[in-house]
Amino acid sequence: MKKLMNATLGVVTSIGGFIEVGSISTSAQAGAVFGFELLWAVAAATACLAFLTEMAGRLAAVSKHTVADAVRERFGWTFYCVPFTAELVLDTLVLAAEIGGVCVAVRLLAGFGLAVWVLPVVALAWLLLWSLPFGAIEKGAALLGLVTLSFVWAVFRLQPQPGALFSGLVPSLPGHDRPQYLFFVVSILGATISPYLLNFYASGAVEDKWDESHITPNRIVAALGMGFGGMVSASVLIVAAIVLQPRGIAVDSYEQAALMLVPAFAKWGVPLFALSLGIGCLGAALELSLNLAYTVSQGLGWNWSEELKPRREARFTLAYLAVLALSGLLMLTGINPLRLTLVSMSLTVVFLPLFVFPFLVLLNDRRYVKQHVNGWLANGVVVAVVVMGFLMALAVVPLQLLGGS
Amino acid sequence: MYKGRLPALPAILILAALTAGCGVESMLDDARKGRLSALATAQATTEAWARGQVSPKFARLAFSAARTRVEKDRARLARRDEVAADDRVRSMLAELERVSARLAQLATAAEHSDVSTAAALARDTPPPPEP
Repeated sequence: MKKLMNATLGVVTSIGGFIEVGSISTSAQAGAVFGFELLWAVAAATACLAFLTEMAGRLAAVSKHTVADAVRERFGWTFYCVPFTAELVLDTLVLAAEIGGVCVAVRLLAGFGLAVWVLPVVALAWLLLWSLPFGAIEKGAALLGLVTLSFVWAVFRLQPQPGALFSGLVPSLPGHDRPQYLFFVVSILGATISPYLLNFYASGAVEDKWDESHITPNRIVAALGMGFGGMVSASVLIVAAIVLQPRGIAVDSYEQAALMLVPAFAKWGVPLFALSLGIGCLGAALELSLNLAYTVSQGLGWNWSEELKPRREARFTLAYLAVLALSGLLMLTGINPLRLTLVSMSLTVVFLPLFVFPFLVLLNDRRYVKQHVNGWLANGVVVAVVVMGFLMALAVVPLQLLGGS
Repeated sequence: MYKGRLPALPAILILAALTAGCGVESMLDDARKGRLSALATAQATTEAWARGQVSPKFARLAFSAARTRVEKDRARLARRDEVAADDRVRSMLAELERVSARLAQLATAAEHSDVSTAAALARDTPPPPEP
């Protein structure tokens, strides 16, 4: 019964924790320019993420290893250095984008400033990490994040044509702006399949002392939680397609994106958008900071746990403080948060095989997961989506990053 | 192929990446899209503000954000002399300047919470053609 309750809570928190700066911005941009045409990319990315999350939980439950631990042990430090370094760089960029997202949300509510909010946001994140245990951070932010369901409610109020929605689930190439279309596919994949989620999820499972009896609840949480979470992300795209595309409003800034909820919620539209963005980004910033600290500590063999008092694991605490400060400094340089988000999301896809393929080897290795090795479907879906994203990224990311406006 | 020579495919990809988006057509296309989006944003924001659905503070932010994009395109087009000499570019630069000035007026109206002036300015601005 307790496991069922935990699974239910896990599903709810997965839904609330799904939306963050990447999913809001990439889905909003995609919907505003291409209507429903990129719904399939959200669906494919969500399916891939559900499989990967289930694998991370299964690895932790059976082997008692986090992803970072297991990769380092299985492949050796020399190999592990490469994904380790890539993850540190990518996570720091994404963390800066999340901090930027919270600052934008505060600006939308307050009506002024951006850089001025960076230090208070970093201080708030640090205070929450310092004072709260893992469960409170993970579940608290995600439960508050249920405000993002306002996008789903907006879809019901705006009543899109079901036929148009279903046709968006079939991959197709548009007649215009194909490089931009492919870039959005890559960005959606990068925003949804965040490598940090895997180690964070596995670290949480180890912290919660999962065993093999958690395999079924883990499967339920991964399938339903990520499935419904993906539905929220798809709702952002649908609302942008209904509200912004017909007017010709492309999302070059979060202020333009914020207009999407106005037809559904009138004067509550902008505040609901800002709350969704702010809470989603703050939750993701806390998870990213913790994951960076987990990755560094697990990679270097330090004590690590969000359940221990900071003085018992000073280096772990110092690690999340340092990455928060570094990401805050990055935002203080005046970089455009939306641009930073798109860059970090697309770079994530370029490096994705580096994280995913060693991980897949572990999930097919009986020394780690005993009889619970991956089936052909899980391997097939993950490989197909990651390879497709990687190839597209190689083709369009340099074009968009160097030539895009 | 001897050692040290750059293989053809990567060389082509690097060249394509470095030159992508630098052509006049591509820059004009970006500027056209940016202009349309900025005008549409201004119109949607003004309408929502007039209906009391967004605050003047938000309206000012939205006008300023739209203007930032227009200014960015303008600076990008004006940066290179050989591009700026093109008649189409000169005409686009003038149009972007006009849109930027209108967005600045709208932001000022929002700063003074003057919705009637903003509505008049938005009415006076030709609507963007169908996207």
